[in-house]
Amino acid sequence: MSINIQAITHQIQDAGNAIADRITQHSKLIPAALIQLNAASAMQDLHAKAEIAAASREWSGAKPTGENVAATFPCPAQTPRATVIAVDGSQIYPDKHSALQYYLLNIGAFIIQIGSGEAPTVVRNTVLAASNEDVLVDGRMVTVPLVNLRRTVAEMEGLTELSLDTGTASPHPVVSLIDGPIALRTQGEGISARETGYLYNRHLKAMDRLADCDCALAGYVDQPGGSPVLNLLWLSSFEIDALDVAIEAKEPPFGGVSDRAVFQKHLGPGERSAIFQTTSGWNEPYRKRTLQERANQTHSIHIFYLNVSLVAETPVVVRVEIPEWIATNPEQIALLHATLVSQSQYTAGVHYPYALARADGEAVIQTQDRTVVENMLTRELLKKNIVPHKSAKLKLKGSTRPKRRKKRR
Amino acid sequence: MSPIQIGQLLHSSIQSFTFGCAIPKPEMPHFGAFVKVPIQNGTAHAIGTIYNIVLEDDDLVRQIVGNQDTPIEIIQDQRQRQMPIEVSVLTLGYMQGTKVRTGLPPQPPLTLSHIALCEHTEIAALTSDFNFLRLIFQASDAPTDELTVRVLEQAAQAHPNRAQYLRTAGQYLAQLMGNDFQRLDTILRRLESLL
Repeated sequence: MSINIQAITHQIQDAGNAIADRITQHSKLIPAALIQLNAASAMQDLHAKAEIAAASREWSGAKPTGENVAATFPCPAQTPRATVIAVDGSQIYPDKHSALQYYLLNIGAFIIQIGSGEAPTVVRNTVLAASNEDVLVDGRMVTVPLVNLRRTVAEMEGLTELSLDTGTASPHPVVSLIDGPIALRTQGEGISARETGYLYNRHLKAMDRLADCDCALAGYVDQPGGSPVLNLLWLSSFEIDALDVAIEAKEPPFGGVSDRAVFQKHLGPGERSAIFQTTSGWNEPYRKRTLQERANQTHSIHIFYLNVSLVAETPVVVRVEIPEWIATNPEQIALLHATLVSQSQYTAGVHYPYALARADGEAVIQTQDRTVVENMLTRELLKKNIVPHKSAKLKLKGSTRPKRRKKRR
Repeated sequence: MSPIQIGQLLHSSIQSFTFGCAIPKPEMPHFGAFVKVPIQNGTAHAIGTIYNIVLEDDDLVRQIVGNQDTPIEIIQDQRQRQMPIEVSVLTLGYMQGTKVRTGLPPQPPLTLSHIALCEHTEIAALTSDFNFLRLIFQASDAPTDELTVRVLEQAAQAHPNRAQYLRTAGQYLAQLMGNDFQRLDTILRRLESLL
C-alpha cells in the first residue's frame, strides 16, 4: 500500500464527521421536501410555473406530465411471456504513453425469454479502433469523453439491432434496456460540434428504429444522483410572478438532498413515481426529434423513480429514463415497471435487474483481456519489423510498482 | 478419425495438469477417464487420468442461491455461463508414436494445448502392466482409493478379458498395499463388485 495511513488518520475522522453531519442534515430536510411534494400536487399553476422556468433555459429540472406529481403506482402483474434485451458496454481507453495507439469497445448483450423455460442467449460485439480516422481527432489522440460517447452510441445501435431481430420474430412484448442514462450528454467536454452532431445523429437514428419496432426502451440508472424533481418542488414554492428568484438561485434546493433520498421515503415496495419530463440542455436534440408515425411525438427524455425492492425496510430507488413515445404509452410503462421489479428479485439481498447484471458480465474487459489484445497487436507489429516502444514513464511505472504473485499449487 | 477434443490446458507440471472445459455433458470427461495432451511440439503425448473436476462459483451464483424461487431460465443461464470448469489430471505415462511408457513425461504440456480422450488401444497399452498404480498411490492430492477403482474399471474395459484383468490387478494391489489391510480390503471389495 502506498497511502500514508498515519498521515490521514485525523483526516479520516474529520471526513467521517462531515459525512455523518451531511446525512443527518439531509434526513432533517427530507420531511420538508415531502410536504412540498404533496403541496405541489394540489397546485393548479404547477405546470405553468414549470413551463415558464423551462422556457428561461437557465432552469434545469423535471416538468410534470399528465400524472399527479405526488402519485405513486403499485407494481403491475408481470406479463407471463416477454423478452428482455439488456445491453452494456465497456472499453479499453487509449493511452498516450503506450506504443500501441488504439482503443477498444466491447458491447455485451443478454437476451432472456421470460416464461419460455429456454436458456437465455448472450451476444458480444468487440470493435478494435486503430485507424487514423478512429484514434486521431484534429491531429490529436481521441479523448476519454469521446470514447465514452462512441461507446454509448454503439450500445444504442447494438440494442436496436437485437431488438429489431427479436421484436419481429417474437409475438411477445420486448423490453429493451440500457445500463445507465439513455441519452448522450455532452456538455463542456471539449468535443467538436461536428463530432457531436455526427454521434447525436447516429444515436437518434437508432432510437427512431426502436420506436418503429414498438420495444419498451428504457435506461436504468442505479444509485441516481441529481435532483430534478426537487428543483421543481423548489420552484413550486414561489409565486408565479416571482419565479426569477428560484430560476437564478445558485444553491441546490433542500440543501443538496437528492431525488432518490426523497423517493426512498415516498415510494412503497415495488412502487413507481409519476413521470416527469427533463428540461436539461442535453435533452434538446431529443425534444426536437419528432416521429411522424407516432403523432408527432418525440424522443424527449422522461424519467420516473422506481423502488425495485419488495422489502419495506430496505427500499432501493432507481431512476428509469424513457423517451416520450414510451412515457405516453401506459401499457409499455406497466410492462417496464413490472419487468424491472421482477428482474430485480432474482438475487437475494441485491436488487438489480438480472438481465443488466448479465449484460455487464458479458461486456466487462478484464486486465488480462487488455494484455492479450496488446500482445496480439505487438506480435502483428513485430511481423512488420516494427518494435513498439512504450514511453519512458510507462516503462518505469511497470518496474517500480509492486507486483502481485499468483499462488499456485 | 481425429480424437474428440474436450478442453484446453490451463496449467501444468511434469506430474499433473489442469485443463478448462465447458459444462460437463454425459459423454464429456469424468472422474477416472484417461486423457492425453500433446507435448514436445506434438511429437509425443502425455497420458493421465482425471482425478478432480471443480465447478467454480462467483458472487452472482451465491446471490441467486439465496433466492428461494429461481426461474428455470435463470438456472439454464447459470449452467451455460462461461464459468471456468477446471479438470485436474494426474500424469501416468507418455506416448511417442505407438510406444507407450509408464512414468513421468520428459516435459510438461504447454498452455492452451488441446486435451482429448484416449483411444482403447492407448489405454490398453498404458495399463498392460500395473506400474501406473504406483503413480496414483504417490499422488498427494488425489482421492487415491476411489481413483484406483475407477481407473481399473476403465482399464479393464480396454482389455480382452475384463474379469481376468481385474483379478490380476487385485493381486498386484495386494503386493503394493500388503501392510495396509483395511484400505486393501475396501478396494478389493469394490473391484469384486465390478466382476
